[in-house]
Amino acid sequence: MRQYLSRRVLVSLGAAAAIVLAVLAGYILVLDRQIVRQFEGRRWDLPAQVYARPLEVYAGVRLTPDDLQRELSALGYASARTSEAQGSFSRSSGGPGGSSGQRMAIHTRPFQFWDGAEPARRVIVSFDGGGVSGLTDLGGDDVPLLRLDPPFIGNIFTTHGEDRIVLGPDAVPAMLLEGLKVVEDRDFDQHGGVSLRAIARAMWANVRAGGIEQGGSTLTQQLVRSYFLDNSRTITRKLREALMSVLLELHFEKADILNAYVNEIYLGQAGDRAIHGFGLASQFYFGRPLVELKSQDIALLIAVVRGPSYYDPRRHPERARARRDMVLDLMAEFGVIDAKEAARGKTRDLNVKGTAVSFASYNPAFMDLVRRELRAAYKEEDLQNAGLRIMTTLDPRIQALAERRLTEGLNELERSRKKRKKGSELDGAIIVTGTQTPDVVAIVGGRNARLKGFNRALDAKRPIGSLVKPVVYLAGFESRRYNAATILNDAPLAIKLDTGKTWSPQNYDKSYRGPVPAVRALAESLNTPTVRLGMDVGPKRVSALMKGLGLEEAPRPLPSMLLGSVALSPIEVAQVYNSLANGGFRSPLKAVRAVLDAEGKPLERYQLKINRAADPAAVQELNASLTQVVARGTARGARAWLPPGLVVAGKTGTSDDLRDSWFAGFTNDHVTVVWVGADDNSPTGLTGASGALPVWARLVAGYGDASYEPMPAAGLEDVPFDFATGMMAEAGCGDPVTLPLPVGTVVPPNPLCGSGFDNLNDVAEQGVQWLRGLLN
Amino acid sequence: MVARFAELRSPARVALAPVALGVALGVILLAGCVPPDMGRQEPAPRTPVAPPVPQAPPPPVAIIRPVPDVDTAPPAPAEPLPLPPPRTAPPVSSASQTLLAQSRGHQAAGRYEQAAASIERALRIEPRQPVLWLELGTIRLKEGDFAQAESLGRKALSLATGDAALTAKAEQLIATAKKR
Repeated sequence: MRQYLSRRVLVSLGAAAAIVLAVLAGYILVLDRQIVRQFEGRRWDLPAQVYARPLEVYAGVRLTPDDLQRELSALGYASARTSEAQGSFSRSSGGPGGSSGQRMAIHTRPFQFWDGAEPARRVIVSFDGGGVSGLTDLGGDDVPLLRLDPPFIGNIFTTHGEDRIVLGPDAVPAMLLEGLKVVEDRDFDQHGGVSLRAIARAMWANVRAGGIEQGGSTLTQQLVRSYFLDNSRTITRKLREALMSVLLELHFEKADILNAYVNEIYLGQAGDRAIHGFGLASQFYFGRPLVELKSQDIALLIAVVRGPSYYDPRRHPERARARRDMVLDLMAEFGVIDAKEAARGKTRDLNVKGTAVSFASYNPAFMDLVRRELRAAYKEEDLQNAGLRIMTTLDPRIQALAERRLTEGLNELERSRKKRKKGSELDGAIIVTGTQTPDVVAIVGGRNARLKGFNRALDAKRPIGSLVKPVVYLAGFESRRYNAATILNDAPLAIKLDTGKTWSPQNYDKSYRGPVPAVRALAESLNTPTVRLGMDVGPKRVSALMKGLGLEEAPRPLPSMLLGSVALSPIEVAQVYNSLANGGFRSPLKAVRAVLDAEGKPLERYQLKINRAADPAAVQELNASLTQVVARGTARGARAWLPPGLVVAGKTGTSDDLRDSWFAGFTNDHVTVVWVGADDNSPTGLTGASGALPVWARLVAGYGDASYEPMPAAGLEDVPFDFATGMMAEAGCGDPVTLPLPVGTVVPPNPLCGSGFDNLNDVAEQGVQWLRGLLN
Repeated sequence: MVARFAELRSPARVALAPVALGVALGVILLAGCVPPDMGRQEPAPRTPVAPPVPQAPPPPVAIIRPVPDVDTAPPAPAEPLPLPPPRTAPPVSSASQTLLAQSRGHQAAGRYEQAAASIERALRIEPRQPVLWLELGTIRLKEGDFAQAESLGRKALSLATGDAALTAKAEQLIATAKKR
């Protein structure tokens, strides 16, 4: 009976055990699937890496030793006494004063570009007053051209905000791997996922307290925990984690698991970006690639693993330093480094650079444009997972300058505005491009440039006001019926509209100047002569030219368009002005140069394409006229901020009721468009000259650009004439300005300045003829 | 002229036209030497110059004519304006030379996209160098992109003004591209 009972108990116990085992087996199978999928999936979860333009160094480039040092420091090159190590430079000052005679020795890093590999090189750069005077190698031979590795500016990362730079096994220093094992998991090479010894040791360490406590979790367990972002301290979670760790070890090699760990583990936080993996953490804390780190730097990263916020070297440097020193001791104790190296490392500062916020000069507005351009050819998924390398046109120096100038400029405008009356908060946008190239070198989408959100540079469509006028005059010049010296009438006018109404545009200052040359009408932004010219060549022609220069759609050819009733975004304005600076050739603006795959194989290159959009000679004449806007016209206030002698071409724009303040213009090297206004479109009380211009001028003053220089054009010759009247300019009379005009252009003699003054009849005759010509 | 005048909203625009002319003339005479506004510096007072003998006839038409007509051209202004002097485009820098050579190597091997990439890199260094634009146009021509070849030829042409040899080359590129 008892036997029977016990047998029954045994049978049911056995059955129960079988069921439990079956369930457990099923559970394990589920876990197995989960962890394997996660591990293999993550291996390919590589967000696209985005790079700024590489700096090109060659004889003649306008680059001071300070500029070059700034670029190298931003790239994380170490300043050293000799440039022995890759990624380092040394600078020797020349004679006293200036950069003349200074030299810099650089040991560059290799980089895989679209058009080929740039090897690591050791080069000596010499400077003179104007910039780089020459480059040689260590043997003294000339080096014609040096391309530095491009600054990394960020990832196109996933929506949950994880960010990483994935490193292959050979890109991870052995010291890091050995150090990790020593500090976090001494049995890593032996255990099968969990380590009873480690758990026992951890318990013992906890009891003892003090010393360097070792966690009970193996590296494998930490990796699993990181995969599922679950830090709850429940028994079931711990069990599941342990099971998965064992399963992971069954499936994969130790080396693979360790490599996944190096790329996966959480090491810090920059705003809403979670910093994962040692590759990105190295950039985040030191601004340099992992391979260039010294032993004390690697020790610090290992120290941070245990608690990225508790041991944050920026917020808790003493705590982080103490733990780093313990890590160095442990590494020495276990023979990862020798005792001397550890002792030396402990004397070094943490050497963490910058702030978490400024990390990788995070430029959401520019990245936004990059994303939009890539979206045409790539799936969002590929951008986040395929490890693409994106080479862009961003110039970090100008980007940083533009961000600063916009914020400062808006603050100052608001300070002076507050004295008068309150208005809505000002905001703004800046876009900077090349002049002969369509490269977008900087974008600021709002006064808080680090804030993601409404990208005003791309999406704020606002009436452009007088920014349209250059296109009106260009249409006139192209027609051959007008040139920069043609006399236009600045007087009231009335235009019958198709609607039956009458339109009577007025000048901004409500006064009229009578006959003026076209260049003055443009420079002083006079409305009535512009409308007269525009109505003569026809709004249709102006609208078509506007489209040709850079718009998707032609604006409606209404008379009011001649004064800028058309609404455009700053980037559209930049496209139009880029075409002007480009001599009448339209080249679609772009932020992406090329795309490479994760191995550095070239995938796609975005070609430089151009199309003739306007008569190059007419454009030269127009651009020369636009220099007068700053020399003598509405933007002459800019002279106070611009370096003396710097010639720039540009135009102010103001929309109705002073809602939008614009300035668009260019030097020889950059086109810059600034918009200032309010998001709710309320009046700002600012004209183009009082709002956008100061921001523009102070920004452009910081470029170090060359003066805008008109190219000689077939069919044009330089002609001097009086800016005020358009008549012949002679010494001591009038305000002579010299502009390239169509060959054969004759400006009328000035009756009060030259010959003929004594013959009043002739004067009268000339005047009548002149007036007749004017009215024809 | 009447159409233009109609823009003026003066009620007396027809009847008073001669008066208006006279007034306008007066204004113009005054405006001749005194810029009306903008706070610019007033020009220094000038001394009248004795008329040259024999006196040149006044220009028959004072309006600017962009295209000169040889037969009825007004007399040349006091100082004849020189024609744009012939010039040669600036020499290609050694940095660009290197890239140009690199590009030629790619072209010889039929790697046109790499060849173009080298030239574009050079263009970022020397954006106003017509030789480089011409080279890029030539590459596009070899590739069969005739529209771009022509545009690039035009860009080169616009930068080569005064340089006879380069102008001829650019014109030839444009002509070849157009034929296809």
